Amino acid sequence: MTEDEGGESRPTNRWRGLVGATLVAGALGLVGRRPALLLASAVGVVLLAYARTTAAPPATVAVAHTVSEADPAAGERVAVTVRLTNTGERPLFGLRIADGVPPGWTVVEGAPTHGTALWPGATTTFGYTVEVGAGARGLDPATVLLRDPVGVVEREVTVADDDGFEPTPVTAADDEPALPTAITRLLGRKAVDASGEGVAFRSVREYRRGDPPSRIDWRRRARTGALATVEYRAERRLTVVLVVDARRAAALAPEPTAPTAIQRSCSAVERLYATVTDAGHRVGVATLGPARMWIPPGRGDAHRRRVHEQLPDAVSATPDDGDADDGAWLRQRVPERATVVLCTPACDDAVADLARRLEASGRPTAVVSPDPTAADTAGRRLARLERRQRLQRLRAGGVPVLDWEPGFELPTALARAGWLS
Amino acid sequence: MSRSVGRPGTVTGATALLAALGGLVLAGVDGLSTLAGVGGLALLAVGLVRRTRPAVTLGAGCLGTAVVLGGLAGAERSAVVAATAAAVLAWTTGQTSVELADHGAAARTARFEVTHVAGTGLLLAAVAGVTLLPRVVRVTPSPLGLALVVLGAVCLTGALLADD
Repeated sequence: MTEDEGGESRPTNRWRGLVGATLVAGALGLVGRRPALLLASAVGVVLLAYARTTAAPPATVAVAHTVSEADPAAGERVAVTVRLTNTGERPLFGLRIADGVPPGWTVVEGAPTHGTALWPGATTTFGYTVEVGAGARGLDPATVLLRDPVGVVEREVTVADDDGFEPTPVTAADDEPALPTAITRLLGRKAVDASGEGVAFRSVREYRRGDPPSRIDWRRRARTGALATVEYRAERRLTVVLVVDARRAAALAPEPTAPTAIQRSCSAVERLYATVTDAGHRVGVATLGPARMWIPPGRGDAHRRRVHEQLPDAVSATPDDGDADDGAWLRQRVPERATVVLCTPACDDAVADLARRLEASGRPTAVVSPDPTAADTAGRRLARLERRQRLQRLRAGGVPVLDWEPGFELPTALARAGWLS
Repeated sequence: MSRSVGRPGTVTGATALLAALGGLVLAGVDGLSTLAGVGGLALLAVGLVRRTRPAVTLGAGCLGTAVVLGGLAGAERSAVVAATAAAVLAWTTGQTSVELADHGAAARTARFEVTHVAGTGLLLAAVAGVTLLPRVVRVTPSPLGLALVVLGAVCLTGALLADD
């Protein structure tokens, strides 16, 4: 267990406006000769004095995890129990914790968040169950928010658990790809259930008359004298549709000088387009928003030129009524069983609904989500929490989501999330 | 696995509604203040149901307006002070209720909420008690003294707002 004592006490500003109300009540009481209003004003003054003089509790909280399976494989469910202890000498009246569930892991039961109060030395526990995703090696540090009883000041710290859940790198079962399905389909060749003459090794079986000599496992033949045939995954080309969310709701950035989520989505689509077409798949490109660009799936130099010429214009179109675009037109145009990669900051529910509906209609959908949120004000922190909840709900609905943090290139973000081999 | 106790925000939300109702009863001494109070209560309820903070803040603002209108209409001092405390309680716990919605329906927050309601309620009760203390001990201030107290309150407010 480790603690981070560095969090500063900061105001939550939840009584913003109380100053004005206090002064107005006092002034009206004075002018209107109403002592009752002067007393009401006095209440405001004392409350402001409390907010000004109080400090957030110290970060004296320890976090420890126990897990049902210390070495889980991808897709396995693990029950996590979190134990919180107040190691200080002062009570912690307002303690909230969000455990660090890595991107790509899905909470399938319970909640990784908890709110409680702890006396000195007291301990409480809570638990949840996660479905382990690929890539991440363990839980991220937990975020702990400590507030005074009224909630006018707070201190935020991150607390890591040194001796807790640290599974080994996730390994895949023999018949399953190591990557999330949608991205495996996106970046490589699609594996289907039937074995055949592809290039990805699947299994070795007993030799049957008629098997081609090139598939015989000659090493085994030399070692044991028995004939065996190597099977490979069958492969076929895919149709992939890359979608850029270019609505006004996506024109967001964590700071004024940073690229917007639309710009980052655009760069992601350009990079993915090159990768997927190079792998031999057919790719279509679409934009949500005022332009509603649709380039049907294809490949080749002419198709590539068309994408490069039309995409910048489509994402820079004036956002008049683009926010009303719920993507219904897109669902009609995307071919059946095409794989969809939706690039969106996911800052509203409409686009999340679109992803779910595409997935439900039999079109495997993945979301690449450039994070445009900041945490410098209470409102922005709230927006960040809302976005994370939205992404969590998408993951719970079976949609793979890449939460692409600012400051990272797309390949780095894909690798960090375990979406690259 | 831990058992889930209620939906996050239930305790604080219920407290906010009860406090708002109490503020309305105490401050609603005439038509105008009652109207403002009812509007505040309705907005607060909408904010709590839809989990929107602006509606909660607006509802609390309407309750504050109801308190001021009630005070101007001649409501009792103790009633105005109690209504003020009730409006602040509704505002504070209402915001907490909305915040807790982010934890998801499966999270356990009841203990946090009970502590928050108790802490906020005790603070407001103490503040209201201190404010009403002069009336209990039957001190009748002169107009000059009253003005000086108000001036002192304004200076204190300004000092509290000033940066370090």
